Amino acid sequence: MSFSRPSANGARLQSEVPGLPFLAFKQRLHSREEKSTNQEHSREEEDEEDDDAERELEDDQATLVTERCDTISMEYHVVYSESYQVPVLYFNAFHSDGKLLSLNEIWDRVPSLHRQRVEHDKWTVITQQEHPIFGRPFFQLHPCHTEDLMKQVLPNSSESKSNYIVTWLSSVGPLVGLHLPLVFSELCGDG
Amino acid sequence: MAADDREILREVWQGKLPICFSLADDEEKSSSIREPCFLLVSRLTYITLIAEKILKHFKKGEELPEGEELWFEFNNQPLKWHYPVGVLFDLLTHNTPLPWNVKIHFKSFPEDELLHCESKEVVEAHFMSSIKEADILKHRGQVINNMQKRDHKQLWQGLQNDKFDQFWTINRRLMERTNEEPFRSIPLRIYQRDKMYIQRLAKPVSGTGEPLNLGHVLKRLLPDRFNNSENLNNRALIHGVEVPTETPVQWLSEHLSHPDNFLHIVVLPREAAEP
Repeated sequence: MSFSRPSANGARLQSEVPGLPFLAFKQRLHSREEKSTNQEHSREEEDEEDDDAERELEDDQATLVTERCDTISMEYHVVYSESYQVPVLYFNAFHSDGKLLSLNEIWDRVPSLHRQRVEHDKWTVITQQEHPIFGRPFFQLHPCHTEDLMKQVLPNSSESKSNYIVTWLSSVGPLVGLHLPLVFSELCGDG
Repeated sequence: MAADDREILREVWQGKLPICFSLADDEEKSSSIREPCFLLVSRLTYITLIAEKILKHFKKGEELPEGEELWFEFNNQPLKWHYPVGVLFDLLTHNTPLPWNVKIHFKSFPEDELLHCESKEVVEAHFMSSIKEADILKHRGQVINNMQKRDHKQLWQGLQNDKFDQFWTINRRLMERTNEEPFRSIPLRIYQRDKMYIQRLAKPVSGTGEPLNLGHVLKRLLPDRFNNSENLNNRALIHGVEVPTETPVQWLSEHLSHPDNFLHIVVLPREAAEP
């Protein structure tokens, strides 16, 4: 059985494999990337031995700032994990030339407040995985901590399933640039 | 664990494959050594863990230029490094004589098909993630979460260094039954050609407490292939061996799991598997 219901923001509930429904949505993020590179003064080679000259050199360094306008296309899938018994967020991000973002580039875009929280575990929080349905490479937000997070955020376990999804997505989504418009809660309805 | 059963653990650990690595035709002749490289590779390891040996041979140990990344290919199919080597072999080669001929690429990494693997840490993260997930399924994560970080490290090092005792000293705890109870759920993945692997919850006992065997699991998860009691048309291979379908899955999980604590089962049509 296959069904899809588009909503105002394009989110679709899909079922490609019986018993494994998933939520899919896309968005485009316009990103302006500022890259600063320090241009070394050519004097440096001559004055390598001279500490004073090097200190002066640091004040002299020119900073080159390049601006790159890029439209990042994001694709998000929410798939239920039978192992962890929680929803799991899979996502991909492409530059406007179609090239996949690297894991470093993904982390550069995570808001710094979130980054600090998971800095020590960085390489296990977001990893590349094989999508459980499509088998293509996707980035995954590791489900390990979802249960604990949700216990804190939704202590009343009798909350409806759709509220759980919305709450969970609101909590973890911003980590990867996903902000839910208010209209999304209309999609879920209740129960 | 009975002595015979323990022997099986060692046999599984020692499984190796002779692989002949050669440079893909479209790789530049000038920047790499062209002679092929023969290696005896463990069935249990991940193919990118031998990257150092490969680079030493083909690139004289020099670092790859920016934008290049090592990847492997067989029969025009990029090899998914995150599957154990033995699984790739059983799944993709059929009646191909040994050694297994694998092509090496440095350019044009197929990122729509393969996960990136820039360092050993990526392989380690993947391996540990599988072990954790397996323990969640078997013991609700209680065994893995009660281990020290150095125990986790020891599992990884045991695999990397090909040291059975180093690995199994820690792993046997992950294979223990809590209070004589079978595992809550059996960690397993079923592979078929040209399909994403199937991973579903699989209990080791029925609702009435009867032990379930491999045949039961296959019938439930692959009803199209295993709907007759004879199972004549398909074979289920674990570590390259066709396992009798009457084998209890609890026993299979304890003895034939890969180091990542998952049972990796390759299902092939019988015609393809027969010589």
